[in-house]
Amino acid sequence: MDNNRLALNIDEKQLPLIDNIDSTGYFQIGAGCQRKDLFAFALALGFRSGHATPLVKRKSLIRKEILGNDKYLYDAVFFKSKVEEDGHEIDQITDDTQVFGIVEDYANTGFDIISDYIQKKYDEETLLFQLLKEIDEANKNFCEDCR
Amino acid sequence: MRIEQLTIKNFRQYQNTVFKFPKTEGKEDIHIVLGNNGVGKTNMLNAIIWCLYAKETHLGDQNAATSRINAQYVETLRNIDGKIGEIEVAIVLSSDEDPIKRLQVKRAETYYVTQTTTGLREEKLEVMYLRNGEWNAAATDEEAASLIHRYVPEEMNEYIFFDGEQLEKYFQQARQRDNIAHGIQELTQSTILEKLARAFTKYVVEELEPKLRNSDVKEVKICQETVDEAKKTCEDYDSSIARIETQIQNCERTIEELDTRIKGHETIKEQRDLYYSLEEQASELDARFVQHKAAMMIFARENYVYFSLYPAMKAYYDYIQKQEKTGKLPPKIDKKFLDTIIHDKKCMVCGNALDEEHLQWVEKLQKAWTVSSATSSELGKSGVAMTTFFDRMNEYSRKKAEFVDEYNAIEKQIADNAEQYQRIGEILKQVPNNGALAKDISERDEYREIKKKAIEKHGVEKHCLSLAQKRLEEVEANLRKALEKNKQYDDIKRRIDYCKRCAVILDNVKTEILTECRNNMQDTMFNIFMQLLWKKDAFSKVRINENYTIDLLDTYGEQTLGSCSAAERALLALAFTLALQEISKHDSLLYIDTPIGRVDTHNRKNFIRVLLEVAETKQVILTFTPAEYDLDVRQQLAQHYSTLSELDMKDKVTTIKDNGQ
Repeated sequence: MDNNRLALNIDEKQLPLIDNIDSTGYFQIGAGCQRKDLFAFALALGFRSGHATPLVKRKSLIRKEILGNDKYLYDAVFFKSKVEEDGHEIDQITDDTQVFGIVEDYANTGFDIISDYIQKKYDEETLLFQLLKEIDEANKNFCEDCR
Repeated sequence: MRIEQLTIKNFRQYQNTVFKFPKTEGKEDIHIVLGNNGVGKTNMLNAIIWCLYAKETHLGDQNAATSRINAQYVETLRNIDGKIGEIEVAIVLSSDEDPIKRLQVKRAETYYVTQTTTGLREEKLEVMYLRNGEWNAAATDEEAASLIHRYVPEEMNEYIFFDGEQLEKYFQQARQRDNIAHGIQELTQSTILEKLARAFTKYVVEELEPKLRNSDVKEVKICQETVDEAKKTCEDYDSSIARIETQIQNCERTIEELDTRIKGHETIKEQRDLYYSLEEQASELDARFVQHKAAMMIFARENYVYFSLYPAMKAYYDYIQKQEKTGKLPPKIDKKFLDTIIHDKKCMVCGNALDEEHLQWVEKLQKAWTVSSATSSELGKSGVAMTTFFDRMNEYSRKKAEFVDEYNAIEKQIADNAEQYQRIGEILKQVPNNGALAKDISERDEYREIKKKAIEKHGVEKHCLSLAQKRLEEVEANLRKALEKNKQYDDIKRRIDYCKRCAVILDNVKTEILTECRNNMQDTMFNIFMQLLWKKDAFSKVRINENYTIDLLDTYGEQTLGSCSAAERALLALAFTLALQEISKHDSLLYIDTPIGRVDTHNRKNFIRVLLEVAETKQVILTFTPAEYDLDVRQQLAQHYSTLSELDMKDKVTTIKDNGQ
């Protein structure tokens, strides 16, 4: 398979959500935000929840060429989930199909979480401070590691 | 002088109403007219003024816009054949002191009335007078006007017929100077002296000077022409100065009027400006807050990605580090860089040629790169990327603190702004006309600026005038010398000198009389004011200044006119009128429309007491609304008034309910 022609996919059921985000500009992840950043945010939400939701019907969202350094974040997620936890071979990290597969599943969970925020009319400011609080917690571990 | 009877036909609300004001034996010559607002009290005053002088000086906006002729009467005329309507107001005046014992003034207007319009057809004035027991009619309009002037001079009418509201504002408004100056000039007849002085000057200018201007003697002719030019220059400066003085006076009047309106609300403009500026600031702050929150959201989202994925990133990075340490990753070197070195056989750092040993070492490096696996390459690049991500994460705490500080600062500014906005809003709410007041303040400041500039210009023009006058004196001296040399002009010279001296003397006399009258007026006015006043120890003097402004001084010699009560100001105006009537020996009545409308309940009693005292020596006619004529006022006047008429309105027509004595 030609890796360069790959794209990141989302589940077809998330398309209305993308439209909704684009029209409302919810939490600065709508039309003004790059798709790869939206995807990364959804991935982060999904990864933090610990659940990967497999895609039912795939729809192309982002071409591989524009991923930039985000690609290495996906590698990290693949490494943690597949190599370290499931015992896959490290060489599989060069197979974008596999790497993209796992991050798409996590991001799928993340999109569900965003959809939940929007449906429950979760206030942007509340979400902002909730995220900052979670980051602060995570930052403690990061700082510990840095010492 | 008294008003015996007033008949009003088809004038505004009135269709056919007769007011009789006989003095009842044992009672004061005080007459009361009661009526609700809009029933016709002020139009009764208008009817009197119109009858005497063919004008209405107390019109409200609504009246000013409507025709004088009674509207119901006009409607009736539209439905009949006659179609000519007539307004008539007749006043019977009497005087014990005048040889003419009675004067009847009747003014009428006839109108064409069509289905859609009403047009004035004819005006008529009829004056009858009773002398030596015989009634006579004024033969001409001039005689009619002269008879009216003899009883109630038009110039004096505003000291006889008052609107209660005007009474209170008599010295408060800019009109005060006109009122006082006018009153004193009327009293002294100083205008006669002015006219005389002008007559002398006119004789010099029109009769004598042309003879010199057309003289055969060249020296005289030239001197006169030079004098003419110098005079013209002086006159130009004089008229320019007069114009500036008028401008300054107008500014002062407007400033005074505006100050009166602004009084007590001097800071309202600043508060309004601040209010609207806070409103603008609030919008700006809201926009800034929204922008800042958006930036914070982006910051939080980006960092959330790194920190949420940190466990994976750390595990991955640790693995890469381990691989690097065991030499399982390719060297961190650019492959193209190695290719160039091998090709050029030259060190790209120091520029020296490479010996065989070093060349082999570089070739070994190149081989290591070429043979490394795609996995190793991916891990190598990932390691570099992870380091970059960690660097960003290291910045998080500092950047977050900056964001939160700014967030809190904006939030505090918004709260402070809202609190101040609300506070000023409350203040402004208590002044419902704050917009108009702010406009007044701006306008007043503009007028102050105009006045300042006019005063500066006035100074310059005055200086120029004094120079021009010096020049005039010089050229006049030259003219005199020329006339002395030419004996044929002796007579003209003598006449010119005489006329000029006369004009100067008349001017001095006028000034002297006006000053004396002003002094008399201010003393008499103060004495009357003190008699009228119930709080006698508050004031020490009334001063009428040269520019006819009034100072009411307190016991410390400070001006208090602006701070005294409405009742005190009304009393001062009354004192001025009574002083004017006393000094002029003019036998007149006093008519006040709603005299206590602006006087507070406490001072009403005193004010009525004063009016009762005035009524001991002259006829006093007072109109009241039922609200003004409350129990206290009624009880106070009950035993004293001669007549009481109660106005009623039926089908928009005013009638007298009860003209009981």
